[in-house]
Amino acid sequence: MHDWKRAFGKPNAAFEQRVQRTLRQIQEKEEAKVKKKLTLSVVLACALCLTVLTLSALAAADLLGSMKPDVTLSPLQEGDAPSDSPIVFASPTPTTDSPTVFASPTPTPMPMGYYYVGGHALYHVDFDCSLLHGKEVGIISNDDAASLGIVACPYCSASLSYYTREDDPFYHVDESCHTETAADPSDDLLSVSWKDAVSMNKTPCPVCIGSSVYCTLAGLFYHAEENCQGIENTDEMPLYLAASVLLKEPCPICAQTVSDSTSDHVSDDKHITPSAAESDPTESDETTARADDKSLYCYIENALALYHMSENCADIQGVVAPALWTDVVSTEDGVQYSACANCTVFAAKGGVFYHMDPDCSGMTNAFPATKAYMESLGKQLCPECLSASTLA
Amino acid sequence: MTSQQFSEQIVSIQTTLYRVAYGLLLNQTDCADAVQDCLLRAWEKRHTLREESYFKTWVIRILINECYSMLRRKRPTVSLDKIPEPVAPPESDRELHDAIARLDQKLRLPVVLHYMEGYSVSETARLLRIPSGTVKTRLSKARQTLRLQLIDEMNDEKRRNG
Repeated sequence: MHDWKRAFGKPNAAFEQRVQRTLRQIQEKEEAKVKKKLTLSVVLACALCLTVLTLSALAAADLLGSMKPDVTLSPLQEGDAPSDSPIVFASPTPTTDSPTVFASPTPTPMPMGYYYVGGHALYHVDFDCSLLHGKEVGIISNDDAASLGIVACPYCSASLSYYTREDDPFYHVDESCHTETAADPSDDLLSVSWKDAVSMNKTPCPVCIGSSVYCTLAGLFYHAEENCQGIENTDEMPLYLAASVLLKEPCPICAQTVSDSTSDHVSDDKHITPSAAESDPTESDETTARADDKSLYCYIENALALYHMSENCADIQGVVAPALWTDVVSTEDGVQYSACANCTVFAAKGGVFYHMDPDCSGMTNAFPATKAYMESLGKQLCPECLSASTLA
Repeated sequence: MTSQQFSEQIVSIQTTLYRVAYGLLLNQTDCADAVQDCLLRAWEKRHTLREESYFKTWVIRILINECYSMLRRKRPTVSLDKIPEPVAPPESDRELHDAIARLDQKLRLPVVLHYMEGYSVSETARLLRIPSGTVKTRLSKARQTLRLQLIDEMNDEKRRNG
């Protein structure tokens, strides 16, 4: 009798071993796969943790950044910075909002560098610096700032100290500037930071700090106009910094007048004040220089919303404060100051007459001066203004 | 299905796999190769198995395919005279082994599945992807051939003894 199941016998040992080996191979492959998956999971988990930590850090940075509502800190735009400058981006360091009056002029150490707007000529130590407003701010290391020739912002750098006195409406970089009006120049000279000077309502001295000009990091010239010939990435800075520190030349298109007038002022080491002008009426083409001068200043009387070109005007009834005439007539602040009819008259560049009304006969670009100063230049009162004043 | 479960199930059906493979290949070494390839393929394609209850038939079908592939690859390039007769494995019924080995391949597999492994005609038909009637025909032919071969074998033995 035959048994079907015995026809082919039983699997031999070699067969069984082969099956076992194959199954073991499958198991090992599977274990390796599981191990790989586990490793990948661990790596992914680590990456996830890292991402969460980074996001938390960024959120914290945003929180800190939200303390500065006027300025948005974001990475520099492509092409803003030189390609070889290793600029890092970081959150702003929180600063105290209350200004410390008469702070020490020693430099404030920045752990990661300075605030910097790509392609610009200035670095900043104060995130609140007005020159940073509305710009995309990054951070540049101290070494890179030095190697690229970027200089400290004259307004916010704590390493730059300014000088002023309690009765001086200006702050200066030159401590000997504007000493002629002080009773004792050595007395009450204050060394202040820009922030302190601003908090004390001081304005930049038109002589030693000069009017604002614009320049770029790589440009040869400084400009009177921010967008002269379509230039971009300009920094607003005082003329002395552009000319003396950055060694820029005046732009032949827009800054020649600024350069001439200011260099004259600086070389004379004297303010162009109404009184000073009155004392030196024989200066050549004075009218033109004065008409182009953006650093003319006057005395404002807040109580009456008047400005006077003469400090000794008889119509001054209260306290007056010196101010730049261009700022006074600008309506940005919302305060409309009127010219004092007693001491202030106007003249157009190259005009024969001086006027009581700055808009007389459709006159544009009239500059103010005292009546005595205009008369010293040989100008006469405009007949129309004369008849108007007679009628009044 | 985990690799552990897979291993356990394969160990439980390894004799079946051996018989099916041997039924087609008639060589223990080729049989082991075919089963190895079959196991690797089955593991690789385990996700295509819809119901685990069909695991055994599913693996057998894979094994049959592997065996056919192997037979195609190992088509004889020498003359039939030089092909050695398959040697019956030890502990096997040599007469029956030789009789089955002489059967045509088409008849051999239904015999293995139906008589050795106990699959019904319909299950065998499903496994071989042929109609049940064909399975019955082949089984009938196989029985008839085997009967003749075994009778001849018995007569020869009687003559030798007698």
